[in-house]
Amino acid sequence: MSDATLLALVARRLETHPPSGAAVDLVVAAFQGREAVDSTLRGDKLATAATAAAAGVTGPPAAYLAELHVEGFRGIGPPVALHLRPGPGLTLIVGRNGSGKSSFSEALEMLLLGSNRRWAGRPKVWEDGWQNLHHRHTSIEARFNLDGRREPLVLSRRWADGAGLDGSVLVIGGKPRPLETIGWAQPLAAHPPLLSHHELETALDEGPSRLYDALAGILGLGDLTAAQETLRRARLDVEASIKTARGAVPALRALLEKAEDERAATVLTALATKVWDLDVIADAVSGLAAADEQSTLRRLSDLASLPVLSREDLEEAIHRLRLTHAEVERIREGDAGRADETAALLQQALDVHTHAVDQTCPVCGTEGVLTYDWRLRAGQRLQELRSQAAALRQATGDLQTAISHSARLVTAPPAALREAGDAGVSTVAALQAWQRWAQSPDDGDAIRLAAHLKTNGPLLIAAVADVRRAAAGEMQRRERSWRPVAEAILAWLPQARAARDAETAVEALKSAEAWLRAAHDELRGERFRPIAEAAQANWTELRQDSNVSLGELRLTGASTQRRLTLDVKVDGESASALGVMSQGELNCLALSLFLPRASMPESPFRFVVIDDPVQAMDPSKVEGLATTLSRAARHRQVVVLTHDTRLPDAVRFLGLEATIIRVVRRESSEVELRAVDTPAHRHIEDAMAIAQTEGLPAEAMRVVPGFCRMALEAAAAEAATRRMRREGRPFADVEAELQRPTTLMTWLALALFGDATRSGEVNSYLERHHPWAAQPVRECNRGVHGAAWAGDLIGFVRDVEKLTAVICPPAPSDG
Amino acid sequence: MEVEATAGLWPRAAAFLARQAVEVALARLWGVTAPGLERTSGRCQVLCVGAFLDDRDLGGRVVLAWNLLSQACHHRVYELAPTAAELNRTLETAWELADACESVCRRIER
Repeated sequence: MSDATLLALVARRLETHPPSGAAVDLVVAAFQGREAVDSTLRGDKLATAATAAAAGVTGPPAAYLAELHVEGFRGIGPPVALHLRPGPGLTLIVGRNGSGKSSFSEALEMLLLGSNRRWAGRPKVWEDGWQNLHHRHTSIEARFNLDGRREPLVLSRRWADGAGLDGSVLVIGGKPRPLETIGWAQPLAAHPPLLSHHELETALDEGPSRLYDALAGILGLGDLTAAQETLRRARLDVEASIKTARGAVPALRALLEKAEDERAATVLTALATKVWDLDVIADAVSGLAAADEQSTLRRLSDLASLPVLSREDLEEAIHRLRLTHAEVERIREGDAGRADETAALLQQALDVHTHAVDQTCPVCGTEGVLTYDWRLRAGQRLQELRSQAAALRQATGDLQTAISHSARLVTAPPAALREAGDAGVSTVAALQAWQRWAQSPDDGDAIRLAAHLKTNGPLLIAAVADVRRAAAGEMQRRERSWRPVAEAILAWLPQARAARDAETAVEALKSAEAWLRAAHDELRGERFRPIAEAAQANWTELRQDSNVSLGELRLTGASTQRRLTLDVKVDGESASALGVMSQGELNCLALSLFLPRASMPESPFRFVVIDDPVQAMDPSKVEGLATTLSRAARHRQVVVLTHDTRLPDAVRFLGLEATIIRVVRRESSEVELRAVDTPAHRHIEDAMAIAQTEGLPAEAMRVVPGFCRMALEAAAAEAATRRMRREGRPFADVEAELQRPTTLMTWLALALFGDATRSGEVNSYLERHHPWAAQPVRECNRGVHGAAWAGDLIGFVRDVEKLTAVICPPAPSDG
Repeated sequence: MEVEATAGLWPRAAAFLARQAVEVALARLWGVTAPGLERTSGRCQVLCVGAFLDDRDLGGRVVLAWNLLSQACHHRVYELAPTAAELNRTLETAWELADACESVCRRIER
């Protein structure tokens, strides 16, 4: 089956039985290969599948085996030609063991496969007998008739003298080419047309999966199996990634539990759930977590970043205090203390004086003091006083500024310090120092303030520095112990993310796989059914009296569980086939299975060569075998090699049509072939047997023309077939033509003119060319229908025999 | 009766009887259709029966049965005897033959 057919079937099933969701895309992608599956998993839209570059080409034309020429191979010495009827029908090649008949099938196998299964796996010694001992020049050639072609296909191999078994090259149509060029390589593997006794015997011995492969190979489901495998691998890879991610978790957990960091606790919680909260983990590890106020880390970092009172600021503040204070004092020491008041007084005095007439001092009553000079002096004095006052104010202002500046330096202990708690750093000393620091005199006394600053400042600075250092140290220590954990987690995070995405992918893949499995089972059952039924039918015929009955054959299972199940019942009880069947029955079973396989319509090989199937078979089975082979021979060229006379005997007893060729070997490996029987010949023999009977009553004589007529019809059929083959007519046409004739005259017309409708001309033709035959033919036509016979019965039969030879001259294979 | 003495001989006995049955049926047929034919060889007779009964299929089966019975009746000690099932089939054919012969004869005699 071509790929396109399979894809079409899958597409149709996707419509009628869709799988869930994303699985649809996966199923389609699976047929395009692993990359398509991967990209579908990633979420890319699938490119509309280019209909697979299908092997939509039609297979090679059907082929029948026409001739086989063998020289110097195995038991065959001088060149021998085997001619076969290249069409449906049964041919038996009979010869004793060692007559060289198997050499023909082995030669064909050698030609096609370049090797021989008989030697495969055996020590080299077996191979040494490949070349005939008497005739050391080896060549094998086969001619095949192809459907619709006039020219036969010629395959040959030649060995140079002295070359080894491998020293040949396959030549097709005159040019060295491999089998693939005519499209036979794959069919040879799937529908091998050569069945050897050895193969039959061991077919059921091999493991159940080998048997499965041998039969499933032809069902054309290779692409489906490949798609399943693609999905399976993809799923395994995805599951592996999940497993890796999960597998790392216990180790991480151990690390985290050992770490005292509170981030570890966060991560552990996030890991505890079935679906990991990867974002939380990522934040915790990269430090972006909004750590709450209570967290130790936060405290530590606060502590490490306590506001630092710099020494310079302290010194400066103290200095300023002292400076401004000194300035104020200095200014106050002068009259500056009262400068303001005095200035105010003087101002008032001046104001009063402005409006006074006399120069009497209103205060002490002294006369003549408030003069113009006095006014000038007072004015100057006023200015001085005012500037002094200003200076004082300024200095006081400065002092206040210095004080307030210093006050600002004195802060309350920060919350971090107060609530440091158990951050692992001792903050008691610092807290105390700060508290003392905070209790600065706030009475405006700069000196006291300065003293306070001077005393407690350095202490504070030292204590805070200690705390900061300790905190920083602690943080570093924690960081050092946390880093490896963090790194481990960071390394694991991408895996974890991938694994999380993978979970959904696994579900989809499993769903797609399950769907494909169901589709596979369905298709496989469908496609195998014809083979199973044919096998069952074959077995029914072959088993004859065996009390083993074969029920349903099924191909089941997949991968390591694949096998062919045979429902076998012995006298109604279920049993295991291989345990209860005799070797002969097993051979029959194997034949039942492999004949359908070789006869499948897809196979270009319309011939099947069976080497010695009769071994180990019961006589009754041989009849069944003959029937089965004959049935297969209705549509296939069946060539059977046997040393056992029971098979040709059974064929004759059953009245089955077959050509029997005898193989005889002389000295020096001279092998001779002689056809001993053709269908026409047999009918003549039967007719003769009756004709020669003494005392045959007249009424019985009319039976003879009946047999003669059958002989003529058989000869006509053969002649017509040969001619149509020569003309290169397609096989289907030939078979259709052979259905047409119904009477003797139409058969003769077909044979003589190639046209069954010209039956009216047969008589005149015979009169003209073979006048002795005209009367016998008339008798054949008439004699069947009644009247008694008068005349020479034996002569009549002889004439008919002669006519059969005329209609259908013996081919080279006929004796 | 000594049953042991007869052990293993039943195939041949059955074959004899079956063959006789066939011969009788054929004789009856020939008596009506082709007198004298019963004196010819068995092979000739069975070859002809299909035509006279106008049943080629039955004729073929009679040939088979006849071949088997002949072999069984003439077999040497060391040859394989027919199996029970084979004999059964042959007997069935013999019955069929007898019936067919009888009906043909009746038709002709009427």
